[in-house]
Amino acid sequence: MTTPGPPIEADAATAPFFTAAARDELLLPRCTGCREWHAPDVTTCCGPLEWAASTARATLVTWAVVHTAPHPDFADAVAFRTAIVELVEGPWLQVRLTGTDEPVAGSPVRIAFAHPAEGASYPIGVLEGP
Amino acid sequence: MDAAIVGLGITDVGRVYGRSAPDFAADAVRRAVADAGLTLGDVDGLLVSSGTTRDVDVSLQRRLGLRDLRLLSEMQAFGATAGAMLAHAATAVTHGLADVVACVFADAPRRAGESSGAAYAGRRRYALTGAPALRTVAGGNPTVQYALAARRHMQTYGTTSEQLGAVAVAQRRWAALNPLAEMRRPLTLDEHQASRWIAEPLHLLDCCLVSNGGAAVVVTRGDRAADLARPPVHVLGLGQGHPGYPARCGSDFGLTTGAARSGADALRMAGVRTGDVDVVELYDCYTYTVVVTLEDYGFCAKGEGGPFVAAGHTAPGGSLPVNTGGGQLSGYYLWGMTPLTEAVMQARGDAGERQVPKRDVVMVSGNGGILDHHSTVILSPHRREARR
Ligand SMILES: [Zn+2]
Repeated sequence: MTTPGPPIEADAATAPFFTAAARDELLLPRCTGCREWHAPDVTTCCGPLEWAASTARATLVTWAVVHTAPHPDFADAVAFRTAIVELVEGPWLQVRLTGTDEPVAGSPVRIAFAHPAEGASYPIGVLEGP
Repeated sequence: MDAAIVGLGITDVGRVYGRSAPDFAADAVRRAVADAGLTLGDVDGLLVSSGTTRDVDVSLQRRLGLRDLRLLSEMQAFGATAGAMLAHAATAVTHGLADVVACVFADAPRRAGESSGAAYAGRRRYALTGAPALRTVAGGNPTVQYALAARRHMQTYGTTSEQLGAVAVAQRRWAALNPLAEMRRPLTLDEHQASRWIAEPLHLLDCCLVSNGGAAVVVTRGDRAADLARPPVHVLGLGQGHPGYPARCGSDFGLTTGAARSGADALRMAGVRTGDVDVVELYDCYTYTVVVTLEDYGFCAKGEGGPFVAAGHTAPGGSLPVNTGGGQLSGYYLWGMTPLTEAVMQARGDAGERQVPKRDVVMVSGNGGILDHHSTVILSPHRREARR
């Protein structure tokens, strides 16, 4: 299956995140002070942040079915689901959601990875039951 | 605080082509100043804001030939900007930093022969690098993010698509009474439900219009306002709320917005309660924002916004008139100037067929980003001392 959507790339801050995604591993910023986990865009907490391995297990917070392509490279992929999921460590991640079950808030989601032909690998969500 | 809106200017709005956003902005300021019975030479303060075209800036001073301004700034809190400009202007005139301040918004996203969706998509910048790129490849965009917010509200409180549709239907009934509104043909709930999905749970008819045009208000000190051409509309209360939702467990995203803090602050400043509010003009980029803002302002309990609208309270003849010009869904889309301009017309008693009978307290919201920014303004035809 070809991966829909535009190619993306890491920046200096997220290079470890995308490098890990290429080997199917989800890293999240974690504070070395309070030990709190954060979403990938967070750069500030009470102490320095380090990238740490997440369980990649999550539950569904909310989802939408995208019918109008949000980027021209999704034109052949609509309709598809996008979702905000809550990792067991606490941070939220927005991902495309695959799986055939009918979602509800709280549905279990496993994080997998898309490896597009062009651009960086990135996380997607697999709905694992209602 | 002692400030009043004394001038209102709205350009031709909607599918109006061949004019840039700065053209509309200059036109709107001229109209607002003339409406106040003033001349451009009386203006000593100018606050400007841009929409999608991002080209309305402080150079508007030169375009209008304004000399020796004492206050000039471009402001940007997206849909909350109109309220933020009004707060800045009201504070300035109260403290003598300026005497006559024009606040203006203009945008020109539409091109002839192009759909509303194309007008916005064509100007969208896609994050393709670093953490922000994750939302892009997840299929997010502003409408999709509002769909995610609406779905969370639905899952948590039982809000339904039919209840969101009731917002669109009620506002279309108001728009039918408004000669300035773009969509005036009656709308049924069935038509709402049959309209195509944009981002489920949002149908096409849950989404606002896209308009070209501009609007401006002129603000001066309350005690000077009575001498001018039009009935003054006094600023009684102001508030803002910028929740800064963290992307993590415990976030209120979709459930409670900056309206909760902003509305409470504005009501307290005005010395009124929700029960005193006669008319409400809400930022309705999507039907869902009307529902959640009614809750956050306290017009109904949390989670009851959908049933409240479905019961008909906000429609013509209802107990709480909301978006009496049709709002952004059916009237015209000038960001925060849509609710503000309608509020001024209602407070003046200028709203013609759609004029509400009681207009002592008018509450206005602005909402920007993805529920990231909120502003509230409480207006009245009466100065605060005289009101009670
Ligand atoms: Zn910390």
